Amino acid sequence: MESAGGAPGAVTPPQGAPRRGPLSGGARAAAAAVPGLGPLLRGEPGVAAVALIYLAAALSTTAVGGGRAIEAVADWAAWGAARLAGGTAIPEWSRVRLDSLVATLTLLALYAGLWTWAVRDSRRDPTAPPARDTEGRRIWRQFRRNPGAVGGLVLIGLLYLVTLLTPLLAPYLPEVQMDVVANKLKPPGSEGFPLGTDEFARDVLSRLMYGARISLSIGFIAASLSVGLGTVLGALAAWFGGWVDMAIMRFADMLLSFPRLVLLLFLLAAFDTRSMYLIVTILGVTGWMSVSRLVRAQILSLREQDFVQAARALGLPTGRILFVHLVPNSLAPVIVAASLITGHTLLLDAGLSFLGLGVSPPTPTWGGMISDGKDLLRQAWWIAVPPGLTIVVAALSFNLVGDGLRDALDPRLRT
Amino acid sequence: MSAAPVLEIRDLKTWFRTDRGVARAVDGVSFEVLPGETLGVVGESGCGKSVTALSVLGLVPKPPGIHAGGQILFEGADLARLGERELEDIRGDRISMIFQEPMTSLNPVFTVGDQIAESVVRHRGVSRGEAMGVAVDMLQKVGIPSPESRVRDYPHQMSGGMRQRVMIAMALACRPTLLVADEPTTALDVTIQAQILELLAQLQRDLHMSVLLITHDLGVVEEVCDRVVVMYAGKVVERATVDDLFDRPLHPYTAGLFRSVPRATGTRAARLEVIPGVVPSPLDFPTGCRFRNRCPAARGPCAEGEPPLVEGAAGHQVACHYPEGTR
Amino acid sequence: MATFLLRRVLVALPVILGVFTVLFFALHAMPGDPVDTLIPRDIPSENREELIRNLGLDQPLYVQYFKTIEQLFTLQLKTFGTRRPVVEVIAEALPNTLILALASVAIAYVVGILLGIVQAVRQYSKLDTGITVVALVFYSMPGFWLALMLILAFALWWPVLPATGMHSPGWEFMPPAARRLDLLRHLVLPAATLSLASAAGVARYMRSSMLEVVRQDYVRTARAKGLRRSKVVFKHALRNALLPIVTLLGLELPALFSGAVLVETVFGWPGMGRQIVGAIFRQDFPVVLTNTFVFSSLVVLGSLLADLLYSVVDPRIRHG
Repeated sequence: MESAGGAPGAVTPPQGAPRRGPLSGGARAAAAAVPGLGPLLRGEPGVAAVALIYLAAALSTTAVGGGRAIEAVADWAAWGAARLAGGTAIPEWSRVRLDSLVATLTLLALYAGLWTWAVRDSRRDPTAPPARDTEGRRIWRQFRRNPGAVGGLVLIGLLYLVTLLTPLLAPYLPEVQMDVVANKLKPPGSEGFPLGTDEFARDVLSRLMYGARISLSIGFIAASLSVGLGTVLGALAAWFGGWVDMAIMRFADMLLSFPRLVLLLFLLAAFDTRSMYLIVTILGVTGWMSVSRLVRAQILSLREQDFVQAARALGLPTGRILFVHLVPNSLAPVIVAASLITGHTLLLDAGLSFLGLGVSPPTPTWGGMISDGKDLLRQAWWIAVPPGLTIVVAALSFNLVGDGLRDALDPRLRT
Repeated sequence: MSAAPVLEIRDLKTWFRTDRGVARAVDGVSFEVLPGETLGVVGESGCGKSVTALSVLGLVPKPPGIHAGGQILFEGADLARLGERELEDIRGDRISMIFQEPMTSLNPVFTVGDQIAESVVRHRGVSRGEAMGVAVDMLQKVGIPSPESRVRDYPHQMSGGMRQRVMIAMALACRPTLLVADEPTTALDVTIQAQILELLAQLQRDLHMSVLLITHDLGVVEEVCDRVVVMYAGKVVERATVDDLFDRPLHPYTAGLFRSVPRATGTRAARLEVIPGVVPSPLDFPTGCRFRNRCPAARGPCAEGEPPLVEGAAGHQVACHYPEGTR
Repeated sequence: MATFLLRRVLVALPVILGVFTVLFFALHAMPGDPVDTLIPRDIPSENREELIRNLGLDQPLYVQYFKTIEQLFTLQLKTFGTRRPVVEVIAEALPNTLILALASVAIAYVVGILLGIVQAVRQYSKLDTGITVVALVFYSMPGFWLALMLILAFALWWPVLPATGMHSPGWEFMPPAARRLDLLRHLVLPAATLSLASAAGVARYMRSSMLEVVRQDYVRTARAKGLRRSKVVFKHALRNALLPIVTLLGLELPALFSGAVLVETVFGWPGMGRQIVGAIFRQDFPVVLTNTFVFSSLVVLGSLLADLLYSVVDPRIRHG
């Protein structure tokens, strides 16, 4: 029990250092020139750290892969010129170079984004009164206060950035096999192989980076599919009720009462080769049940509320009420679920690859790499350990963001 | 009115830390409860009356609550300065509390007998068997039929009125000197309300205890209270006996309250009036008198100083620069 | 209460049968022929046709369907490969899976509930944050990878526990006590793998359940009675906070079996999970179907037990 003796100043929450005003003159120019400097000058180390992390990512990619970026642009420019002059077929190198071109554009966009932000941020006046307080702003403010959630968001951004920049960053192509006799099972730190090589003398770091593209894309797309499907089915069940509701929800119960992994094994074992699209589809259509329950429950409670009754009394058509008024209002918990489902789907996809039922080799996936390394644990632990770590980091990031969002959305936790 | 007060609250301040600053829910409240009397605390929701009640028993959640000053004197001790363990010894023994929501205030997974006996075991140190005997007696006292079998019932097997009777039995099982009743009848049907008030009054006489009754219902106040404290925006604005207050309210807020209540035997207002505006946020009270932006009598000086609580008539205090009848 | 349970069983039966039916037709609709996995393609076609006849795969699909159901309930179903009765095959694996599953559930719930209580009681403390972070890391970890890491740590680098299997070689000749100890040593790593992620989930759930309950009016009533803080927490709050955890127990079983599939594969634990993975790859329909039937029945049985347990802790259900 604390007693502050009644002096009002004693119990006002600590404000920290007084807020500094807008930057001016040279400071503003410097802040516009170096992303992250502005927040640093204004005393916002968190924001500065995030900006500097992304700046470092951009600069190091330039340092490592600048040559490749120039090569890619030059090659495509040469091909374009030839094409205009009389037309040649798409060249042999196009697949690799297309990847590199996309990566180069991503890098340029990253620079553009960073500096646009820096220029705008350098003009920001932190003492200016905040704009009208919307629900979105309130949630964002609450979210920002949670270091774990912000860290998760920054990590997710970096992971996806790496997947796009991989062609510039990765030392080798993922399928490239060096001289097997000389180079297989090299330990981490070997000359030219920072994370070592596997039994086919493939570079673990390169496979890890290319594997990120597959694993992260599958996680994200499949989860989006699940969430979209779940939202639509849940909304339909809630709105129409009766046998529609009955059919959808019983079917969901059925799927939920069964180990999902076994179901996936069933469906996937039937295919000899499994593309990324197949995996995404099958993961997507088996993961919608929790979302549909959530949306259904939300809508059932919402539709009794006044604003829906008002819309009905005004005679608005069903579809409009459903998708314009109800779905957006039940979206908040769905976004939370989406984030958590993405993390879960990542794990599930890894499990499938581990059992040999993920995307077919030689396409690198994190789960597949762990599977490759499981029988070599004693001789070469470095094959199975790194992909597991990246899976943990990715899934953890999504779970952190999901938790942070849930807390930010929970009005009871708001003080 | 010369006996020493059972409870004396002096300049109590209970504040809450929030995101957007400090909410001064209770901000300098003083009153005393005399032996055997019923003191009513009235005001609109959000005026700080419930927080005052919780403060007495040290039940304000901390954080975000803070004791920002003042004393709560009970049997020679300042409750505000006691540690949690000492407070636990007093709670349920010498000061008890009953709450507004009988439906949620009883634990759904234990029998009512168990929940009453628990208090007796805790404070009297008797065996569980003896305590169950006390529980049966108490259920009988609060008018629950066939208490011997009812003692084994779970809360969900009882109606709201019955549950409130159980709450009362639980609170009075150790024969406290002071009962704090926070809106004990608000959630009940009107007919049940009258029965519960009657029961409380009767038990109060039998056990010679004092009651601090928190309510927003002026009808309840008129029926059962001896004296009244009117609260507004964390402050006491008026303090008088029931008769004085009802005959001649001095604060414009109290007068407004009376005019806004429909009364079967109304002598005052034929037409209902409302007090314009809403209770100001405890984060941001107006300067000077906190009622001035809603007050029909407000004028210049009201914005300057907070009016102190002064004697407006004999035994009748008011905190207003321009009390009713002086304009 | 009895009628309530009966109703639950009656609702569950169509679900089990539905799962079975959907999977039956899905199996047959899938590309790929189970006969291919049994014999080489270059075998003379009359032998091949004889095999198809023997397995009953020449019959119309609906006949196969009803025949399979009949054989399932009369325990006559035989595997495609060895033609052994499926019951025998599953009877070998079921107890092993149950040992693993029960051990994991027990560890997960005891550890998870205790951690959740500690976190809720010490909300926002360093301990709370620490447990939250560690729990979230385990929650975000693929079980099969954790399994490999545990093998790496405790079987390869610091060899104190066996890496795979359920028994050491020659365990048949051990005295009973040594046999049990041997089994226990083999159980440690798989059970730890399976329970760690699960315990993390339980702890997260328990923490929020406990924090939710602590806000309830009846907890304030308990405090107003002057009860000691420990009694308020461990009697009044805990009992109510456990209610949703019991429901979670029923809902978690399918996920537990999913986990068991991977963990049994990694540790070579001779249970149903490993069996079903093998049967799926061999397209041994009877084994797959019976296995799923047993899985779904266990899930239903588990949630039934959870309901029973719920009615023990919640008097509102018992009397309602």
